[in-house]
Amino acid sequence: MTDEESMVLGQPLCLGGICMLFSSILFLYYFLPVVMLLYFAVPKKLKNTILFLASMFFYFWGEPKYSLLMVVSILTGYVGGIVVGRMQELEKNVFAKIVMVVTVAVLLGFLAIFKYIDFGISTVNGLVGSAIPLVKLALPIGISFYTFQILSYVVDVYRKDVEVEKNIINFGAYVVMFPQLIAGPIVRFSTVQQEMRERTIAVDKIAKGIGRFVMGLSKKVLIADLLGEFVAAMDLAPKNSAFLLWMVALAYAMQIYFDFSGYSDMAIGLGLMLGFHFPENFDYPYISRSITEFWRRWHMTLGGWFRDYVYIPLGGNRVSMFRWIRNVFVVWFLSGLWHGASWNFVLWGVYFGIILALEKLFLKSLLERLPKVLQHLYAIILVVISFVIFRLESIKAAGTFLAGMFGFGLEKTTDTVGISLGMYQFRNYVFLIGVSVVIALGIPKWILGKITEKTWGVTLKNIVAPVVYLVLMLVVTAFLIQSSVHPFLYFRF
Amino acid sequence: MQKSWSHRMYSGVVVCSFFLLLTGFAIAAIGTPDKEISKSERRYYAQMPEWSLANVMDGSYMRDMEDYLLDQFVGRDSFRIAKTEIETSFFGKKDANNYVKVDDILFELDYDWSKKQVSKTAEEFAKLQKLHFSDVQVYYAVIPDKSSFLSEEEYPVGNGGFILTQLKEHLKEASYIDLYPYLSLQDYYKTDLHWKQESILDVAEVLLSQMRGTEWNRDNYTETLITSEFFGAYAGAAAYQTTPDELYGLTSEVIENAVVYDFESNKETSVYAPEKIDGTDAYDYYLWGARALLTMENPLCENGKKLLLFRDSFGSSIAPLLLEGYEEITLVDLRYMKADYLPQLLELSEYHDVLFLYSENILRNSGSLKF
Repeated sequence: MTDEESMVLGQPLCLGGICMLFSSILFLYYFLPVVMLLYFAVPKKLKNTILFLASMFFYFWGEPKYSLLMVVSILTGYVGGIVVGRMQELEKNVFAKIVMVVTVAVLLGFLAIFKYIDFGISTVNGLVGSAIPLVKLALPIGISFYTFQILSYVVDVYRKDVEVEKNIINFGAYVVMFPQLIAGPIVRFSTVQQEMRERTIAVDKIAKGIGRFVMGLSKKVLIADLLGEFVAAMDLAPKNSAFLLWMVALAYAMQIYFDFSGYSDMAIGLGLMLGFHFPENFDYPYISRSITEFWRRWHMTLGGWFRDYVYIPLGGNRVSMFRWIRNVFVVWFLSGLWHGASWNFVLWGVYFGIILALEKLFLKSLLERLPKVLQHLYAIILVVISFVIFRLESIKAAGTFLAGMFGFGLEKTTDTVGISLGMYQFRNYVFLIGVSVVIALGIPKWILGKITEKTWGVTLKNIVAPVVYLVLMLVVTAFLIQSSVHPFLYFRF
Repeated sequence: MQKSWSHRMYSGVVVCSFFLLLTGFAIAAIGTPDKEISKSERRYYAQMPEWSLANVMDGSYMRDMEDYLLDQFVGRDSFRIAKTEIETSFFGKKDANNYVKVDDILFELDYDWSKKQVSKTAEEFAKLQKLHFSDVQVYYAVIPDKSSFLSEEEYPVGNGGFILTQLKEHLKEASYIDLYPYLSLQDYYKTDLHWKQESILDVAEVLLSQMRGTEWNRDNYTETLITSEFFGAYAGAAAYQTTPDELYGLTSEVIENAVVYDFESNKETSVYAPEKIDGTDAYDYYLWGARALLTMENPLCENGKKLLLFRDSFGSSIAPLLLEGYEEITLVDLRYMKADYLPQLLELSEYHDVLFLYSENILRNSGSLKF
């Protein structure tokens, strides 16, 4: 091997413009300590300014070209909120409604242009055989998340569920706040408005936040990214074993859970360090016994958002059967589309819409008569299948993969390396897959809960936990030093 | 509610240790002079990027800064080794970054390659033969990859058969020289992909006897220890904790008197390059490492025979041993020059023998060869 060949080995890659991840050396060892030092050092009245400036820098670092779009989005929401509030003060409710609708339309317009325009064009091209060229705009980081936050604020002002925020720094800091800017949780203004004005920063809250952050970081780096390596490695192996295809699907379901919930843990932890209480986003979704329960435990802030801003305004379930089914499908169609500008995401959403409708109609009552273990199996199998649709780039690829999982259309190969590659990789990652399942089922949490019921257990935890956090930070650092960049899966949403 | 002493202690320790860890490493990194080169990773480290409006706005400054901070992080080598140890010992993985360590020997698992590419390369060799060497004797030989000595039951290895089949199918007019019986795992470095020069006398002997019918006396060669601290390419890429190899050089009257001409630098030079020992790759000691086109002349031989050797880096260490049978050997590395240029640089009709000598490793990834 020559110098030139060796140069490539170990060279870290940085994909696209997404550089300042929580799971990066730059964020952990430079950005975070500097921002925290400044944040703790300045008086209370300047904390939001520091938070706003640091968050804008964080965003600018990853997305310099779209920073202006971020500023325009903030100003749109800010001005929209003020005007809606003023109209309501003047009891001009029709004008308030018009302004609210216009603001929502502008924000959704940004989302449509930057996220969905090429999807729309390619769909039209496919349907009518036209050749309209694609615009090929890069997706601004976090646009789905921050747009939904601003939308909820403007609608809440109109509904008088939240006070108008007149301080532009407070509002800007809410929208662009770096802990939850990129991948949620979707924090509503009503949740943090009080804390934007007055919050306490205490050592025990910071410690709690650090613990949550380190655990989330470890979930992401030590579990999700490694499972991602398995899933990617298995793409090279022939699809000749239904068992291995199930293992890949299971590993991906675990990867996306640890990736996304890890990010949410980090966001909630950082929020605590800064004095905020962000809403929980995951509650052990893989212990669910139905899909209805799964969606109460998975990406809870998104589910809540669609419930409050789409499903209930459409009439919820207090309507005729036909309209209720329509409402369910509208919500799940949009939910699928929110996850990505592609038909397989729409299919993914509709898949859940159908199952949820069936559960509501009769399936759930049938399921409840089954032994609990079968209920769990029912839920996890449907979820694992859903993530096959979610992961693969096209509906055709997902169909082939799913057929293979059930023994249809498996590849026939005589390539011995290919045959052994699948089992080799499975043996390589079987321990990690097992660990991820145990953690996802909440078993370590249950054991910890039992231990800390006792006074000695609490003392033991208080002694051991700091050591665990420190060791995990060092181990995570070792993995970050060596690895390429692994963007969070939810970045593309 | 009054918090217990252990909880107050816990909070204080967590906050202090967390921020001390973060700031400690950041301050240490800032306070430590930047390194230019990594011997363990065998590459140049990223340096502090300079900013401009253009590189900030297109994001390249941020990417370069991230690279710089990663490369210059304090204790980088130790962290890399720690990661490999954790992956293999704790997570139970057999490899780390596709590298395996068995009995202190490092192997690369290379299964992400294109069969089509291998077929295409075999076809290109055949075209080259037809175009320029239809009147001379053409030979080909494949150097087994180190990983082919791993158990096929345990690892996804063993595609040498496919490569050979492709070469045999396309190079029907050429003679195949089978090197497999003459090589074993002990003939390769522990930490590198290459064979050891001192262990390939058998290989040189079989090549020369088949191409030239030359009697070959291995007593003509003496071994000299060049370095006992040779960490090869796999050591850097795999980040396993490992012991170094010894790198020997074989000398003989022929090698000592040989004259090497480098077409790139337009200079005459020696067969071995002692100054490369302390560089990024000590294996470059043999014929100066990566070179597109070299000619070795043997003033002690007067048989009028010339060999054209199409080779990769394995050729650097064996070519000096083949010199005994030729007045001149020309080494062509198609990774660094296009085969199209050969007629402009060489008088191709002067060669009596042509040898395609490639490792499985390069043939598997032969998209790098230029025709």
